[in-house]
Amino acid sequence: MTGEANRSGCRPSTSERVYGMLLFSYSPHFRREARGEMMEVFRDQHRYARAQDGISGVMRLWLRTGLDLLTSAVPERLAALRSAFRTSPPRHQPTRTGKGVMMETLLQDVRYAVRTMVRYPGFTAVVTLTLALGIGANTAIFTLINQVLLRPLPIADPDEVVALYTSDFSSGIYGSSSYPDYVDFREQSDAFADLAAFRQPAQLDLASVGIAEQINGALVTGNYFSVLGVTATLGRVFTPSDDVTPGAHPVAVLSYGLWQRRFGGERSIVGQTVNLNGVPYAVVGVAPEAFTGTSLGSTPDIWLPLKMVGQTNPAFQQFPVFEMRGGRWLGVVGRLAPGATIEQAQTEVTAIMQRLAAEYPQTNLGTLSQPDEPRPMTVLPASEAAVGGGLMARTVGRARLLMAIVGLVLLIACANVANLLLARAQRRRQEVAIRIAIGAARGRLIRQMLTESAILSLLGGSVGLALAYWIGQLLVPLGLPSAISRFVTVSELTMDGRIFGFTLAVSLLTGLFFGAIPALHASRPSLVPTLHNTDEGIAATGRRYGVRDVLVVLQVASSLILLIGAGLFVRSLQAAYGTELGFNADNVILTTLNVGRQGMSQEQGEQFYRQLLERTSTLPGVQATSLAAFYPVQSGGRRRGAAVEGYQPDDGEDMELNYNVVGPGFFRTLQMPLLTGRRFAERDDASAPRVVIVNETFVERYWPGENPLGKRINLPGPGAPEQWYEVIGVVPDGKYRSVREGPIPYMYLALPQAYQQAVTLAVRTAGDPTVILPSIRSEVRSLSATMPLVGVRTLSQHLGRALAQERTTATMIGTLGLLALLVAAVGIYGVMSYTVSQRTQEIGIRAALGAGTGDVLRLVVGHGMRLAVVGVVIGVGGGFALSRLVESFLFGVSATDPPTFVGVAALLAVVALLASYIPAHRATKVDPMLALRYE
Amino acid sequence: MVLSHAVVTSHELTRMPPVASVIALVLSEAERHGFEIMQAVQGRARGSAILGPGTLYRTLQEMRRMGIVERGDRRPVAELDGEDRQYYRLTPLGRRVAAGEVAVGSHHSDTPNGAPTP
Repeated sequence: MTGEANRSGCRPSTSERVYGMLLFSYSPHFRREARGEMMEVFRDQHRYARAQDGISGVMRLWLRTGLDLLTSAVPERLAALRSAFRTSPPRHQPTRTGKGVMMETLLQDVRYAVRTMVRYPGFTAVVTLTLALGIGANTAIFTLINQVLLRPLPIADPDEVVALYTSDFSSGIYGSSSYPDYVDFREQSDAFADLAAFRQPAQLDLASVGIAEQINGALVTGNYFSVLGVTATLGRVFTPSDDVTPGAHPVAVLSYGLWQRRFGGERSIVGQTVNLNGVPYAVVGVAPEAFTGTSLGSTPDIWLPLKMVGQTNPAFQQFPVFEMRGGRWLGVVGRLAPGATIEQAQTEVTAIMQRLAAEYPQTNLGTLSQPDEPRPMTVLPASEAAVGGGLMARTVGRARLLMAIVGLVLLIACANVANLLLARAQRRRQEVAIRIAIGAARGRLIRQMLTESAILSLLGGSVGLALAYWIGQLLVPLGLPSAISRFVTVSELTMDGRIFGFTLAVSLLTGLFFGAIPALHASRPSLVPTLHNTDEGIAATGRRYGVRDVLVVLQVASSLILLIGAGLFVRSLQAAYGTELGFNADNVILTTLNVGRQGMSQEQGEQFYRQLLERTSTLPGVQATSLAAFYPVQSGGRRRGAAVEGYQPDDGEDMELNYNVVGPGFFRTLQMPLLTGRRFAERDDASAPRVVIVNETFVERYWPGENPLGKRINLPGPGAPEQWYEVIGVVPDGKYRSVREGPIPYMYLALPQAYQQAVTLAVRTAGDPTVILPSIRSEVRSLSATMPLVGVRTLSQHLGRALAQERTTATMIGTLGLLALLVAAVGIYGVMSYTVSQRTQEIGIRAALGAGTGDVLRLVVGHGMRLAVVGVVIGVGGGFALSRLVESFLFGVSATDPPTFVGVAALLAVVALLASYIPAHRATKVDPMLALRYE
Repeated sequence: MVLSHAVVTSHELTRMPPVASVIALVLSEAERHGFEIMQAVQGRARGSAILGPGTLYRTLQEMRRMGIVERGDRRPVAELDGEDRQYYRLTPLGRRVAAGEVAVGSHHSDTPNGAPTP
């Protein structure tokens, strides 16, 4: 298939892949004969439809194809079954077997159903589309979940592979391990066939054939590939002999992607050298295409031996990292020994750690919360570790939330379709009554109606399967399920048998659900009135509330739950926007400038920065201007190992501290007040003593109750183990990496003392900051004609990006909720219109007896409002029950936020009022004489 | 690959789906592959018939079983040539069917199956 596609120069489209899967509806015999040709024909049709009418042509093609599948695959399967039955008994058997009769009946039902569907194409289209949206949304989310949570890692026997974590001192149990610990685990355990260690990611500058490029590398022990059971596509993978002496093994395994992208898939690459961070490495092999490492979303471009870590990152050369038991920097994966379980492995590594803690209490005993216990060890299945230690729960949580949302959407779609079917059943009740009168069994009628709904839902499911791909494409770039989207790119979303099965199951269940209610209901009309063609057949059953009322209640309740969800996310967003950021984000414009890429030396760069600041600060309307490595809020930010004077960290305590590098005007531009000391000044340049400004939390944590001014912090750099910075000022806490974070210790270094090749310029203006942009652009151009302005945005927009996830979630749930609200409103309107038409006589009589307009309005609106109120009560209850699902995604708002609940309930009540007012108003126009004469 | 021409009975011919006669008709004009057959049929039926790949190949299979059509040996120009593309043509029996000498689907057809347009 792939080969063929490559030959003809294009990949099969999604439609083709989906169609290929749908062909499984035919019998194997037929598939063998005709599959290839049918695929060809479909491909032709698809191309033709696309060329003729674009996407709408493709949609129509899918509708036609769905019908074609139904009308040909079902009879084909039945015929195949029949011929299978026929082979055993003699051909001229006079009586038919029970199975034969059933088959015949089923075939009749299918034919009947298809005829009905073709007779009412509008109805069929509306139902199909409604179901397709509901089922498609479910399939799309399931596809994402399948991709992230259910699909096995691309390694041999992934179930046997596990990941090991050593608890971090201060930040959780999913920490890295040290090399000596790794060696001990490997030597002392029996539960593992073998253990491998890796360090990832490593930023590498690849210089070879043409321009330099930053790529993502992984450093791995020599047995890494054999532990995972991965063999080379070309050349060889590493062996233990490739990873013995630090710095002595300049060899590399390329990823398939890098090999194709940078080296054109040349087989002669093996044996050539590539230059990484200035060190030449000999390429020994290429990893298989499917192997993307053991972490989802972080695919290494190249693998290097672990012992080369010092060559990729000079910081590792300062310390004997392979002997430091307290230096924890490695991920560990292992393959369980034959017969060993993950529990045994867990018990064993815990026991080993206990011994190590006794032997090396300095490094292996105690964490911040449990100072007297050995470092806890955690063993996770590799599939869970791939998502990220501890992230699994969050991902599963979000997946559950998403499934709940799309489940509700499907529920609403079902209720809507059931309502439509019921409405149609009213029209068909005479036909049903005749069939019952001439002796049709009720069971048979129900079966026939269920067949019809099953076929409708299968049709909806087929279209939904096709839609799922597009819905998925909409969801992923929205960054919607952030815990998931990190791992999935659109091109990676693929269909497989599991998704097909899921869609099939959902479709059939859906069909059963929305089909059962009308089928049961419509198969027992009161015969006599119906045959007399009066409305009493239904209306006179004596019940005040019918099935359609129940469905409306269901719709109201479901849309209420969705709207509450949307409301909560909106409130969460408001809360995030209203957070005390520690600075003023209004009227500031940002743009990023990279002098390094322009080939400027440090001296030229510094000159450029100085001139840029001088020129921009004198532009009209500019209040302040500054340069910084980045501006808050920036996810990730920067961290650096630090030693704080006078503070003795606990062993293994996380002393990597967050910092930013900022120019002199930074605090003024962001309007950050100064609590004590002074701000950076022009005199704090590279030749002056190193200075640092810290925040309040920094002082409270490391120098509680002391005067921080004049205290020192050591920030070692490459080749410089001691670089002391003196504290000159303290600023209030702010938000640095995320608006959701709590207060953290933070440092600011002076830009002239920590040169940056790329900086972001911030300009504060009196009014709208975008007005100044052309002037900034021309000033930059006058300094460097080729310098591009990258990422121009206002500081508010910049903050908005940090909140993009909240916003998109709120948008999506909100959109679905509004859609659901619309559907519910149409439902209420439909039911009320129907009720009014059913009760025309009653209303007419009431009017004749003197009931005023107000009484009639009250009568009808009262009915609608009662339904709405019941729906709202159920919905609010459901909202409370489901609040647990959203709790962890909300910020600054409770999952049972009363204003949201009350507001949304009120909104729904108003909509219900309007939806029932229109038919009620019509009811007041009933002419009593006309209504009575009708009798 | 072509099955024996002798297996078809007139009873079976009457059980052919109506679309078979249209397919026979368009094949009497020229040897065609699947998509061409579909387009020709659609053109004739003025869009009133839904002839998808499933219905088409079920019918073609049945027609081959009866010896009305067979696979041809024509190949399209190279750039259009898919590995699985097959051409179909009428057998001698098929020509007679298409010419109206043998009725197809005649149990409810009150118009004669049109003579082939040359």
